[in-house]
Amino acid sequence: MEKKAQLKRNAITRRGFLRDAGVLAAASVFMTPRAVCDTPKKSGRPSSFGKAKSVIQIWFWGGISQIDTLDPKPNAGYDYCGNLNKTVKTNVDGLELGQLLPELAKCADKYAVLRGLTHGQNAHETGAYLVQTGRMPGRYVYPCAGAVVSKFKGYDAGYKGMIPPYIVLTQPMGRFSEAGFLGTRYKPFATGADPSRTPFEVEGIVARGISRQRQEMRRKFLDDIATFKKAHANSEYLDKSKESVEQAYDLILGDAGKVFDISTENPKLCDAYGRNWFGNSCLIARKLVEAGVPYVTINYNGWDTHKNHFQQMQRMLPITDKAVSSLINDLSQRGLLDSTIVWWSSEFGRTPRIQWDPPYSGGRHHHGDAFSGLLAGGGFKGGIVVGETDSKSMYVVKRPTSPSDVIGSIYANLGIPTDAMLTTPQGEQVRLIPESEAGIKSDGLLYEIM
Amino acid sequence: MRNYIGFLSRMLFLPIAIGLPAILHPEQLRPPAPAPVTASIDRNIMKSYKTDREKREIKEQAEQIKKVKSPFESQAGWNSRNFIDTIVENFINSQKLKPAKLCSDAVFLRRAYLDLTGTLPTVDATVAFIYDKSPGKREKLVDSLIASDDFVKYWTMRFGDILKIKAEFPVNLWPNAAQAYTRFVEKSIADNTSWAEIVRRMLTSSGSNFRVGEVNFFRAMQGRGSDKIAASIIQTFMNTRIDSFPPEKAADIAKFFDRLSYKETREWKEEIVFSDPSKAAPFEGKLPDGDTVSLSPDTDPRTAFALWLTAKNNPYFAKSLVNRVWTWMFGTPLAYPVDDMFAKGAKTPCPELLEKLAEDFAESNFDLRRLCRQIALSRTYQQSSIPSDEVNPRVAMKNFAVYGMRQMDAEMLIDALCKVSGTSEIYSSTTPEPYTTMPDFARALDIPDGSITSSFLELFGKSPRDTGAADERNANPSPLQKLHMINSSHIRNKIISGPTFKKYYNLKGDNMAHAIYLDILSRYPTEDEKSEFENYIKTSKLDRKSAGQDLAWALINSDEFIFRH
Repeated sequence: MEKKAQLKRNAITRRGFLRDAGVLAAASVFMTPRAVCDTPKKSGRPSSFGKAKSVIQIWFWGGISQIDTLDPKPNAGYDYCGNLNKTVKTNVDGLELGQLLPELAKCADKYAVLRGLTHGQNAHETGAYLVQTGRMPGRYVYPCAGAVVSKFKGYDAGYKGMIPPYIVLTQPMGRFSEAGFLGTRYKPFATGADPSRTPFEVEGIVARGISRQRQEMRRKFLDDIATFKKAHANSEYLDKSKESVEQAYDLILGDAGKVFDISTENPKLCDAYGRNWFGNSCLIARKLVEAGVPYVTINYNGWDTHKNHFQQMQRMLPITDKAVSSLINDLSQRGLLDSTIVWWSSEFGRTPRIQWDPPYSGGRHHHGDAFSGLLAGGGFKGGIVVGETDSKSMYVVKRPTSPSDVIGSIYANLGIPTDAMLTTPQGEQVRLIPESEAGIKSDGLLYEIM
Repeated sequence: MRNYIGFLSRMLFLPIAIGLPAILHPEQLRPPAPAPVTASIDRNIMKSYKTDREKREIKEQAEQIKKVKSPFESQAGWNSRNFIDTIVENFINSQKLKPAKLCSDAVFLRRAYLDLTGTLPTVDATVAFIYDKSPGKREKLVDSLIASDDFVKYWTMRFGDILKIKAEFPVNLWPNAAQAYTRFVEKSIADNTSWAEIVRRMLTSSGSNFRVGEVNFFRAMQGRGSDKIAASIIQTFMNTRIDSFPPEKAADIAKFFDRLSYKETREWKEEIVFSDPSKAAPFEGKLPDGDTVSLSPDTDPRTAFALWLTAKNNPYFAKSLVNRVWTWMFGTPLAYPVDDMFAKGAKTPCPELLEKLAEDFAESNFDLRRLCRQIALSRTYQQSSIPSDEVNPRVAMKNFAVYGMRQMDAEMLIDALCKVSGTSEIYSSTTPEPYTTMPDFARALDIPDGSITSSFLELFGKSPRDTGAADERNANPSPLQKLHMINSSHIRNKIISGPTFKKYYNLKGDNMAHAIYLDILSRYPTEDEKSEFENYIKTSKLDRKSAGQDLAWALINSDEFIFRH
């Protein structure tokens, strides 16, 4: 019962939204801006524990603007909104989004909006590391969420799929997409290539200009000419190598690799996704999840909009809107949304106050004090807003949410206990999620939507 | 704040600093010389022989070489060459095992190149070695390899792994200091400084992390404090993991380093490591073997510990390095786990071999090159990688009755791919700072800092240098590695557009197969292989060039290429 009341409190009504915005706009003049949350702390296993099987993480690489997307402040004035000063009503009473997200507005009942994200870091590397590992850089290099899921849901946990359990479309991020101290076994498989082209030449799986016939011919030739392998026929030393080649060919020549081929999908559906780099990536992510892959990351670049921010928003947000809404609806129609988490994530938000003067000409910079995210499916409840910022989206005023709160909630829905331990190469047992990180405000797991 | 100002002032010089490649060696900035691809490789060889008789002999020899059925093995007999062989022969007999045959010249050439220098021989060197008729040619080859610059580069990389030479997290040496540390190791190996002296220099060093490379031993660890230093020493030079070492003895070692201090300078990321004179006092300490040490206040206790550690009769020191070097070369450890070889559960199949090698190494004043030479010239090392028929292959491998075959290390493999195709790679660090760029045509072996890397190196298991543990490096084959080798655009581009390969594809007759085999596998093709290839051209209906590409592809994907054997 208590939980229901709490959910209501967090689900902002239209009236409440306007009232709070007014009060806070006045209050922010007098108060130190970082207000503390007023929701009671909760603990224990959430009821959504273990409901999810897979995660699709959309990474807005560079830092997506919160004020133009999930946390609009239409009354903040021209210096904050620019020409994007309208909102669009969603199918959830009281919840509005930025004006360039009309399609997402139609399915707001299927996702929760996180408006209280905060960690205060304004550097890409630290922000990316924090959001993906839940930790500040320190003694160890921790694995990011994808690698952790790969460990707890991948081959170690009985995953038998031919497709690697942790896929990145299309490029890894370097340090922050990595397995940290877990090692190479848990690294992502990066597809490379361009999913908007046909065929999508997934690195290692689909080769340009090499026909299936030539692949098969070459494979036979490789066996025929393998004098060394024949000399080692009885030695057992090459067993692991032989087995690995066979597994590789299962992907190259077998059916498993077809998961990357979208030519057999309904053309109308492809249109809805947008038939572009990001849209096709989302569609392929759905196909991967359908095939049982536990973790897919789409590294969507181009959001570090210091310059010409508004031109970029006009160009990229409609693409994003179509693709993400299609992904959520498609998963829902196939009955996959209940077991698939869609996570809209970014290293930080962008400064609400616009820098108009050259060379920025309408730019937004890094902003780690307040940013937004979105969680759909896999046990997370839709149609709810968690957290709140002040009238200009500068600081979090309600329900500050730390990166580890988000990751911890995702782990919990996947059935990975947040107090699970990892063993470092030095043999030390460390928690998957830190108890708390100094200096970062947190209000615990997202029980409001779990 | 001061760091930030330091950063800004550094930024002013960035255009110049960024241009500074990691290590400036002008000769490395040029593309490698293409392999000799004249119309006939054989003809060139012929030219070097003057008299008709010599020419006739060499022609006969060439015919024989090309008719060889098994290109990997030579005769079965065992002629002991040095004390290693006498011990191993007795040991193998006592285990009721049969040693492998002597490896062929071609296999030995490739193996010695990879194990001593981490690189493949050129086509020139291969052909010259195969045709060399002098009886001492293996010894001559080993001596020339040990004296080469590549030997220095390769062993610098090996030691870089255990010393954790890495700029960024979690060790945080910083780029300039990682370079300085690598330069110290490289110079020590180039000068053939005794291993004992190298370690004494590290353990007693003071100075700037940028200028006195060896002080970085005290910085290349996660966390600070004499207990961390003791753990690092125990792991690096005494091949024992800290949890296997008696804690009170570790504390005794730490006490020798209690005076060590660190201070920042006004230079960005510079740090001075020094023995703090304000902590000077009469010193009473205890060495791990129980001996007590009393020192006057003006003696740095570190010196006393370093002398104990590097003494000829130290129970850990010589054995530790001998085990590492033997494993790096031969593939099968003398005692395992290599980095916990003195622990309770550790195994030493042939204790006499470890004892005698360590003794010999200590007696030579810890001469690394001499140790490598002793190993490389032994009949034991020169065994084939193919076990003798009558034995259990896994048992033979553990007990030195066969050369310990394993996949090439990531750096070796990518350098080999670049060398055979005439291509190069880009290496970068996640932190775009000065001293983190590498010039074009730099090899992976030349990378002076573990933070400078590539996705290939990561995929093929190069050491992250986070902990210095032996199993940080992972040379096990995986399906993703095979996908990359078989079908990636990265490898495909090397095969199709590699300048060296492109020349081969135009060669007429057998010369194409000869050149591709010599280049990739460092040997001539057998008659069977040549007819397989001819057959492939016919049945596949590919043009010669495409067929040549498929041959290069098949050889690059053969275990013979990917493994050290």
